[in-house]
Amino acid sequence: MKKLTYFPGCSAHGTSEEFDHTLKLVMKTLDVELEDIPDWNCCGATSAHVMTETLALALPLRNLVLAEQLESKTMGIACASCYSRMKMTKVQMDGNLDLAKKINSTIIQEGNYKGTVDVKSMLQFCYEDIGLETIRSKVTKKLSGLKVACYYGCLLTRPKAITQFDSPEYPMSMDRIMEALGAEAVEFDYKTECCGASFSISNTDVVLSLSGKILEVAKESGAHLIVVACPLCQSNLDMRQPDIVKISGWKYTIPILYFTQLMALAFGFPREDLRLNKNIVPAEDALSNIGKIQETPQKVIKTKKAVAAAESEVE
Amino acid sequence: METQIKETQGNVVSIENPGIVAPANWQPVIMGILCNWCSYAGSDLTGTSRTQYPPNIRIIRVPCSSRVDPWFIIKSLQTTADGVLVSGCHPGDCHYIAGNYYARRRFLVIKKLLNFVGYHENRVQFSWVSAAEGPKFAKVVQKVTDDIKKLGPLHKYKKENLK
Amino acid sequence: MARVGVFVCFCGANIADFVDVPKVIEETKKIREVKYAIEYKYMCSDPGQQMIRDAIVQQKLTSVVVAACSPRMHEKTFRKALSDAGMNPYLLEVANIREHSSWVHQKDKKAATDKAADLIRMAVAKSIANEQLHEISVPVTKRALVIGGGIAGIQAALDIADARIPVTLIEKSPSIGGRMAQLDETFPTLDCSQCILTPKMVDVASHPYIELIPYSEVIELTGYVGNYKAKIRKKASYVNFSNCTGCGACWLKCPVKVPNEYNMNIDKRKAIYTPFPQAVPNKPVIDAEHCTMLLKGKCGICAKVCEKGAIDFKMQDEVIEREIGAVVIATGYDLWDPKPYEEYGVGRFKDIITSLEFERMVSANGPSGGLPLRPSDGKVPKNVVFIKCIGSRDESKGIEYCSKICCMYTAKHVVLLHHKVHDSHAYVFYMDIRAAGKGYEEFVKKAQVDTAATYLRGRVSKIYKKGDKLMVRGEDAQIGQVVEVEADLVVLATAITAPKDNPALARLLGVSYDKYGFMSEAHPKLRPVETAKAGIFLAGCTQAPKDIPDTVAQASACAAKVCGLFAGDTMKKDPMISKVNTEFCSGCLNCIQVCPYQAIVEEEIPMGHGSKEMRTVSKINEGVCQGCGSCVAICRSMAISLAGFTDPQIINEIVAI
Repeated sequence: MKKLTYFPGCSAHGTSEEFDHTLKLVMKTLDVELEDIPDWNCCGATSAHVMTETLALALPLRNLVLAEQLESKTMGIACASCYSRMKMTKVQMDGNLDLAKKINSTIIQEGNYKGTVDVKSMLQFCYEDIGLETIRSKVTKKLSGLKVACYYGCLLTRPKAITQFDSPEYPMSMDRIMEALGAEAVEFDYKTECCGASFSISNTDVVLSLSGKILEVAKESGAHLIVVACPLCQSNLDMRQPDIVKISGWKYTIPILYFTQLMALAFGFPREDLRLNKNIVPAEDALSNIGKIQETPQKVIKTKKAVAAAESEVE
Repeated sequence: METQIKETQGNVVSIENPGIVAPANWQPVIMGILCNWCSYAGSDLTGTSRTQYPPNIRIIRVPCSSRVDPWFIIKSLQTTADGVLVSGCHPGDCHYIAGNYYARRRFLVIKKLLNFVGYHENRVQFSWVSAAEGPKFAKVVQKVTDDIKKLGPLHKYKKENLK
Repeated sequence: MARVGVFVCFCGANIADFVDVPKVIEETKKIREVKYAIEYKYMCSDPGQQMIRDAIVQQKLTSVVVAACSPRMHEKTFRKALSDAGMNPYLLEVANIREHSSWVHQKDKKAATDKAADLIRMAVAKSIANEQLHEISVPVTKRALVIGGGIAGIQAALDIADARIPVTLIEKSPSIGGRMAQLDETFPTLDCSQCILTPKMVDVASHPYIELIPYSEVIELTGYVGNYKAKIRKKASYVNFSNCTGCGACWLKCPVKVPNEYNMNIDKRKAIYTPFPQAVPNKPVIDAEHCTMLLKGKCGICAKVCEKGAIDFKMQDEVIEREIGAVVIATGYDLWDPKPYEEYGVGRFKDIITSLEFERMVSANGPSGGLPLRPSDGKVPKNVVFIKCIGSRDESKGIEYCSKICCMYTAKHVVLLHHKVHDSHAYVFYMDIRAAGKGYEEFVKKAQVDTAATYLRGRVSKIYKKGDKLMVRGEDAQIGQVVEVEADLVVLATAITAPKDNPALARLLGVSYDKYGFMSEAHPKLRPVETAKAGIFLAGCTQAPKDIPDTVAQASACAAKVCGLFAGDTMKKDPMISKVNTEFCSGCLNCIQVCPYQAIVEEEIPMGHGSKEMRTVSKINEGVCQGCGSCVAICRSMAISLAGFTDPQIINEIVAI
């Protein structure tokens, strides 16, 4: 069993409890033991970095220093905001030793920062460290027939210079994981657009219009549901959806699930274990598409075209 | 590095040889060897823009800083000068493509050699001045002159004094 | 015994006010070799020069020192005065007592005077060691090589050839014409590109002074200005041009289809092909990468249908040599690949095309007969969004520079779209409209008015699909709002980039190139046509992005430079170059390492007079040497001297004060 240092972040024990729960199920199946950072603290998002630089760096640095004392050399982070702050701090510390020394002096009782631990989002960990082959091998119940739109939000792949993971504009890692589970990942142009994030409380109208657009494009692309890897994205798209539906006068809703929920489902865990009751928009209808074989009209056109092209080549 | 000025009764003493004391109102002579295309043109611009600098420098024109033979520097220090300034085009701007790179390498070696035989490192200096940098040339000359003034005269090393 | 004359100039009050000139004269007269010293108000004036001329004759001077302004100012003037008096002009030395003394020590007259006297002493000492020098003449091969057969190369070749100077024009593709041949109409007059270009292409083919070698490239250039030797590889075309009539039977029957580069891969051409119907020469070549006969030995249909028997599958590449005196580089440009614009869905959405693809579509001889069509479903687009500055002026994704022509060609495309699809509407997202040029601003204005196109100032942040439409979301900075446009077709105005082969070609020719791969000119303002290497010139976009009028102007300027170079049978050259004294040369060849111009070569000479044993020495090619002096300083045996800046001259200066 492989160990992974785990930073749950505050939302894992609150709004994204179902993410945390299913993540642990999935990791167990994948032979990964999650080890919580003892006495971990807030990453500082989303307010520290607009207030003071020292605090914005010292908070994540303390977690990094604590993580260095554990066995695993990789820290997996569930929340995209935590990931962004942690990774940003690591890159800044590694690139500027004077700054690292200065910030480290504020948390000196925890120890010295050495830069030995790598920071990854859980999505990145699944894609890079576990790999599609292993994921595919653990699938007991294929999600065929399910069309999903993978939504990455703004922080998992950006800024490119910091994250060094996937494309910043049109990432495909989650799409590939979904395909490994047997689901169909639809072409989704809004996969990295902003959901409104922390404006959820202070300026809800902004969130309604931004998240509304994402839902609309996802629905038009033919998806049954949206898959996310970030608690804030999930809560905005899910929790605000009834309001959005009311304003826009839509006749439909679209459920928002964590990628780990679908992984757990594909790995054979019963539906109760997915904690679907935590979702505001019910997912049962969408999940009922699993197993339904659908004729995809697009593919037919493609083959016809291919035949025509092949014919013209021959002629 | 900050130079400690040595003085005897208000007169500057040569940093290399305490036996040499500058006379009152002593003015050093600095040999400026400038490349034709950048630094010499830059020094002309200093003139046209009437930027003032100390009158201690005597300028020799060469086509390129790569023409500067170490011999010229040594000969200057042996005979007439208390310090030498060699100036060429900025790296990458050489009129002759890469001459200033050769000059830079050669200069590092000659500077080490001069240090080894006992010359203070500020006696011989090198700079990049482009044809557009009139004010910079004046600053460079000011700095070199100030440096050499602190180092004191070099008479002991002059040929006529070696007899 | 040397007899030096010293002439001190007042320069009006410029020198006299800050330097005590009579005192300087007095000091100067103390120098042993100075036989004559005099001051005058303006030495550069005619009476001043007359004083010099008279003194040279009357005082039997052996060298002359003029103490005045910088030698960079009037050295030539005074050298001429010496010549006029029958003296070798290189016996002149100038003491720069204005820029180096009177102007920079205006607060200390005594110091300025002392310094002026010192500068004169140095000049006198140097002049004593001056030698008589004579201008060098180098023979010239009067033939120019033009690399690249686009409009730049065509214009340069025609202008040079019209001056009855033979030209070798080489082009890497099967036909000349270049990018301009791909254009439909040209801004700002909207005259048809083909109509103004093809006559010039025909002129090139029929000009008695132009040797056109298509499907070829330079592989080596040796020698120096006026005397280059170029090796040119003629790629195997597998078609014997002298037999071929260009009838076209071969490419009609050829079964292999290949994406057509001329039409930006929108349609297909055959494996044996001419790039376009108006090609010059109008002879096909076989594309060896795709021909099944050449790849697998099967087919050979073209050879069967060719009545003239012009097809030769055994043809090999051929290397030919040409002796030339000058080179014009006119390799044109490439277009920036917009792949990094992932947020636009470039590569995912078929209905996003580049401007040159649009240009081919609306061209009368294009793949769709002049009608723009959506690549996804072949429908005629109604709403077309043009996005400018794709790659250019974009430090994060592309390059910093402005591509210069995109504002204009986009305005042209707006007009062309309006002409071809009357009920269409164009939206243009722009950063700035840069329409500097004769008739350009008027053209853009007229385009905006006539087509009623919507010009939106702002960047596009996102393109996504909605049904079969593309939704273009961008900013309209003038109203400060995000706007969304429903588009049938999106056209990206991609930046001009340097051809990717440019760095390799530059190294091969020995010229420099910038960080983008564009060839570097010798001086950005005053020598925009020459490279730093004498006898090699630049025309068109190979140097920087430009439009057709600028390209043609620069090409003609190249021709003028080439004609100037070839005006006499020999070229005059400054004599201040290096020379090897083989007596002293030990053959270490360090000088070869440092010479930036490859002007030094090894030479075998007899060990002694009449000896049969040989030894190696270095030899400087006086045609190539530019006189930097690197070799002089590196020479351990002091065998090399640089005329005008010899060791004795400089040492004399050093010890003079």
